[in-house]
Amino acid sequence: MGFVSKNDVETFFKKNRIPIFINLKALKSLYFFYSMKKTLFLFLFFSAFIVFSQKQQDSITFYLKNAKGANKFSYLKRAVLLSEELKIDSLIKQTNLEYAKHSYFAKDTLGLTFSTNKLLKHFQLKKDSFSLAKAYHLEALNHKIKNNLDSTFYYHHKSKNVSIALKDSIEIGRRLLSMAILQVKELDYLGCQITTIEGLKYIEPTKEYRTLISLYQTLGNALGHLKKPKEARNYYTKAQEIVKFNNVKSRRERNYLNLLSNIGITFKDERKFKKAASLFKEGLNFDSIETKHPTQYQNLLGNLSSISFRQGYTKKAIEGYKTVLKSRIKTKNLYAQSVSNGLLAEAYLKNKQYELAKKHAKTGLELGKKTRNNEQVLGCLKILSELTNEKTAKKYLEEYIKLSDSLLTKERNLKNQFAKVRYETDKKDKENADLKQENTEKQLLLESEQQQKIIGWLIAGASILFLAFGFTIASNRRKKLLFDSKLQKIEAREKERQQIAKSLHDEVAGDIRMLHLKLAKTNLLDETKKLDVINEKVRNLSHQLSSESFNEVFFKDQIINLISDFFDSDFRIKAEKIDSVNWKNINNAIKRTLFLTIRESIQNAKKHATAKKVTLHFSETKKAVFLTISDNGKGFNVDDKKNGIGLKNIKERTEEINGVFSIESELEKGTTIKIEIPKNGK
Amino acid sequence: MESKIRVLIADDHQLVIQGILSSLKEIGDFDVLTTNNCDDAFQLIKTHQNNNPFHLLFTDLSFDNATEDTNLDGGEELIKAIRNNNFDIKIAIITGHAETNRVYNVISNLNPNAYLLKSKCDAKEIGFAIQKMLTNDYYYTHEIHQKIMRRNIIQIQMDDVAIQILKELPKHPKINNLEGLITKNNGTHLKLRSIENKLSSLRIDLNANNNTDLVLKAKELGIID
Repeated sequence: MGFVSKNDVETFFKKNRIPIFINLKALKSLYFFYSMKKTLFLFLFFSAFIVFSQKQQDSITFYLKNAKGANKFSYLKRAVLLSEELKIDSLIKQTNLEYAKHSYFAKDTLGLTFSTNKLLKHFQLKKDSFSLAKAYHLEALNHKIKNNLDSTFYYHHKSKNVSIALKDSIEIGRRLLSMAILQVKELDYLGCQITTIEGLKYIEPTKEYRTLISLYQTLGNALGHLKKPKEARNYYTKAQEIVKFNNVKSRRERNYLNLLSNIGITFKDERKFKKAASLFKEGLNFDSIETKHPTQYQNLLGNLSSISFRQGYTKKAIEGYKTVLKSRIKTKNLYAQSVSNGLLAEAYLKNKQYELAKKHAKTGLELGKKTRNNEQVLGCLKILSELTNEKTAKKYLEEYIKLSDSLLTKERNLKNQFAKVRYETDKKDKENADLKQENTEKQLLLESEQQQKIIGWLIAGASILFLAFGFTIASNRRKKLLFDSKLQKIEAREKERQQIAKSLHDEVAGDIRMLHLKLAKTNLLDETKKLDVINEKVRNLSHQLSSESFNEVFFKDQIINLISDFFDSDFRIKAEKIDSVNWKNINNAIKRTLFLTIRESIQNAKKHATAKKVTLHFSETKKAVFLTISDNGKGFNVDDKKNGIGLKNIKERTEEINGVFSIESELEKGTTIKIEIPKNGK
Repeated sequence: MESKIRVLIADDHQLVIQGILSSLKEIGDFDVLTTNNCDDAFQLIKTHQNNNPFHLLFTDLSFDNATEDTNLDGGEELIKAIRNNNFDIKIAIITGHAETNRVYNVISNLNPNAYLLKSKCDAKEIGFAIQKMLTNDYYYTHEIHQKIMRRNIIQIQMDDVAIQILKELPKHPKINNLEGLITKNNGTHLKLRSIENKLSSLRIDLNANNNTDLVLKAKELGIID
């Protein structure tokens, strides 16, 4: 089996080579296409995607629209799955609810469970509480189908609580209505009254008339059972007033008929038979009521007949009951049938037609047991026990008592259970609230701890800042003191220089002058001339050493004077933006340094660089004064250590007051000196 | 006695005093007193002010013989004291100081009637200076005059407004037209009155007779191109 001949292998290759080749070619062309028309390609891709998703949406609406008859469920399910694929939240909810609705009407618990799970999943994914509320609702409906009334009640309650959290009044009202109806069924009229009134609280402000009508009706029913016909009628009439707002015609008609029937019953309970009968008749006169609204027809006719029965018109009552029963058989309403059978049995008994009474009582008992219509079961058992001989009567009576007992306990249990459900959920709510409060308290505690921590940090930070601040102040003060002492030093040195300059000028130059005069008298002209040169040199030296008082003369004037001393038609000096600096606020030591720098630079430019032009540029910022001196002289090698003592002095003077000195020079291009001096010595 | 001009000479160097004295003798007949310190000079002027006041004062700027007790320790201080007392005396400075800074400060603050340099000065110049001073005029020796002039040029060159005015002036037939064309450092326009003031001070600084002369001189001196 595992043997493969060489021939087979070869043919395998031959067969496969061609498609591989083609694939490569196709890929190449695709790549070419892609690279050439990248944008077009992308555009096509996107438009295809959009068209595709649009198509899917369209098909969902198609499925939803055409979900009828045999295709109903498959279509709806497809819509659900498609919406899930598209991941459009609103569609997911819509399709699931639609599917669930139809499943409920078809009593399809599996379908309901399916939608419930989908909605739960959606809730978990998107945290959309509306889905959760709906999932609980569907779960409640599921239990309703299964006849698990307490579970139904429980899930309605849960759904309602979620809706309360969502502040969705209409949903709250609807769930409360469902709960109230359940309570009526379980004969918990007082609970029902409470529930409906709570429901009304939510629904009355809204314009949800359908739910409002139902709530009024249910409340009326509960009050009717509690033997409060007047109050019941009050709510029925309230419902009547808004029936006109129900915009579905068939529902509106049914509401109208039901209310007639219900109001009639309240009058009946008050023994106002005439009034009640006229209402029932009014209802029965409704156009083609028998075919259009059979249930209402049956109720109205049944009620009318019961009035006849109460008034003693037994025969007339029997006729009515019989018609009702026929109609109920037609509509296959077994529950209502059992009621009719029971009533007929009662009427026949009164009319002494025992066999017929027995027959109807037996059917009523049978149907009542089937449909769990315990009230009828009991009624029928009671009639039967009266109609049969001792032995069977006893049997029926025992059954009656047993059932009655069990019913009572069950009823009590149910009531208790309902109450328990309510109590427990309320308790849970309370617990939750307590937990919440505890949580918030803890949170507050944590927050305050955190705040304390933050405050602690802030204090720590502030103290650090304070320390740093103090330190900087201290160091600044030290720097300032240092700076001041430096300035004092400079001042002292200046004084010394001035002293030297003065003695040079007055003593040395004076002595030379004297010598000069003496020599002039002796006619030694050569010597006289040489002495003249020496005199001039000494004078220059003395001038250079002396630096003028900067307190009395404006710095600008001093600079102008300085320039004037050197200015010549072939040695031009230009001062730019000297007015941009507020010289009044500049320390004298700084001015002196700048002055000496300028003098030294101009001298250098004239003597050593043989420049034709020197430009001084001044500027000022908040913190420093800037000076740039550039000439167009022959320049020099900055790295050469033999550079004059003048430059070195400038550098030292600048650095002494914490300034920055820099020099750039290029042979045959000139020299630029840049000085930056901080105003406050920092 | 009354016809003689009274002269006071103050210098710390006797040699200089001798030189001036001999020059004065060449020039004419003066009633001369000498002193070698400023405090004495001021006292002499003060005491003679009411009867027989001095007409002329020749003084140096720096006096080397100042001690701790000296009140006026230099020519500047002496001149300041005389000006402060409004003594009617013509002041000539005869000194070796030719640095623009000192010259400028002395001339602009103390307004001496003459400024002579010891090294270049002779009897003829002293005589000329005396002549000028006695007719309420001023005499600055050539070198000083040059220095002041050069300084004015430098100052004008550094003055943006002056440069603007000098550049615009030849383009317009009337000064009124300059209004709105000249901008100050802060970007605002110069008013006509300010322009006229500036022009007059420029004429003085550059020794120009009128505005046309001013522009010509400015060009000549290289202030404008």
